[in-house]
Amino acid sequence: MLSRRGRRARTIATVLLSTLVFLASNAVAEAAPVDSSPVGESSDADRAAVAKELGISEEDALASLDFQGAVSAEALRLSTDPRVTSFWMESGRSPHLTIGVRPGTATEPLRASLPAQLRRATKFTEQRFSEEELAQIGAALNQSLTGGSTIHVDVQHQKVEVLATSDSGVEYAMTKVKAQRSADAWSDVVEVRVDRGLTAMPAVDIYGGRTSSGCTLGFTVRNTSTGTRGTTTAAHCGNSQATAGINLPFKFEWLTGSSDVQWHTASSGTLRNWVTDGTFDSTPYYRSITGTTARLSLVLGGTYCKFGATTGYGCGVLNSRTEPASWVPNSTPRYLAIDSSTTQFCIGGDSGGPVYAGAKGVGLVSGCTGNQKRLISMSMDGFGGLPIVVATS
Amino acid sequence: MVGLRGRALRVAAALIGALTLGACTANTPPPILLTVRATEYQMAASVEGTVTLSPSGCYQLEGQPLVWPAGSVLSGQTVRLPDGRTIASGARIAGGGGILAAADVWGLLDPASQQHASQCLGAGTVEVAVVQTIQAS
Repeated sequence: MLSRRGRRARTIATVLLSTLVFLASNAVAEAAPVDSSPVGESSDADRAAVAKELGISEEDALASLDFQGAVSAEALRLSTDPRVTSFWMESGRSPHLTIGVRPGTATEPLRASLPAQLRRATKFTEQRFSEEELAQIGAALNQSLTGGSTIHVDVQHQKVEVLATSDSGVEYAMTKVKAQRSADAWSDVVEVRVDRGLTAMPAVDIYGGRTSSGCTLGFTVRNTSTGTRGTTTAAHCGNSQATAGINLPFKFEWLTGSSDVQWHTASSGTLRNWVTDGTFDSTPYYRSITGTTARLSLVLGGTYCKFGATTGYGCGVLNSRTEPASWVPNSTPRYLAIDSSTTQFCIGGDSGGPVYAGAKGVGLVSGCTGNQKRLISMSMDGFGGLPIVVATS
Repeated sequence: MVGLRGRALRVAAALIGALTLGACTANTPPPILLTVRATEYQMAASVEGTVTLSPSGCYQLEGQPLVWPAGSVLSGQTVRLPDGRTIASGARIAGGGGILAAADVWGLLDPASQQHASQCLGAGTVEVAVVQTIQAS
């Protein structure tokens, strides 16, 4: 039996302890962000972004993200299973999992160990090396190669790629790799090749719609006498042009009559007969130009689209095929007026951008009205008589 | 103690200062403002950079002769745009227009600018920055 003093002390201790527990629990609650959703559940924004990225519906995106969550929950177990070499999933409308296993592994027990959601959509493939083993081979090679090469591990294809920037770089890398391949342990795994695109700079395709020194690139063109490929922008753009860090040497410009165009070659990169269209489809964010449409074949009241580096992709209604361009000396009324009633259609920076209908080139952005709703485009007449033609392949 | 002699010295110093200032001012030519004709349409290249004033009084944009939007006027050493904004040498501007060969610019200038354009678009000028609109900063 406790004395009165003892009871009071117990009461005080209890109150103190309760207060401490209360404070501690509050501190934890404040430290951690409040999130009522289960771990890994995607937000609406994620779902929308994934749907856009993969070109699928938001419902499919949600299913793909759910599948990813299920794989993620198994990832640690799979990573430490000695039978498993690697695993990866294919995101999309029908997400599925691939598990790499050591040769001779019985896969059914492994399948049975997976949750039902994954079991149905998992396939197995035999692999000689695990992700970690390939990474170790890559690290060993990296130590023996002194600069100029990049190592890339591709576990799905069981490759360690040595990407050199030049032919001499490849020779050097081959010598080093052969010296490392004791007992042929790495045969068929290491691949040495030149890949200027990957190692010198990101692979760059040059095509219409790309930003270029205050303007927009138009169509890829071909010089009719030399066959040299190049790209265009408006003639009223600066002669010094570059895109994505690639210099575009100036060749010639025509700012007269129905022409407002200049052409440039490219010091590197690949000139494609593409134009940007801002649409994710089977040709993500670009389309191929396979022909051109002459001015007089254009339809008044028809819709035509453009891409400008500043205003992006948009379509409008052709309301005139006989506009002049006041900034072009001896301008002839062979420019096009395309109107948008809804969007900001043309601003500084769009000049030179491609105007097209489907896969046909129609013209190049030349000017705008002050209210930015009307675009003035050079028509294909502007290419008439020039030593360059729009490349269609 | 400041006597008559000291006062005379002060006056002399003030006079010398005033004369020197006057001489300096006289050596600074007034800026030459070239403006483009008002048109319904404008070129759609992006033109941007820092405005400077050359020793001969020509405005330049990143070292290229600069033609200002239609309706721009001089206001002392600054340029007042049609919307009332003023731009001084050293300011950074961005807008729409074009970069044109000097020979192609003459026809775009308003008549008043054509009269003294040769001072800024003379021989040796390769490209000219023609700014038809300037974005609000």
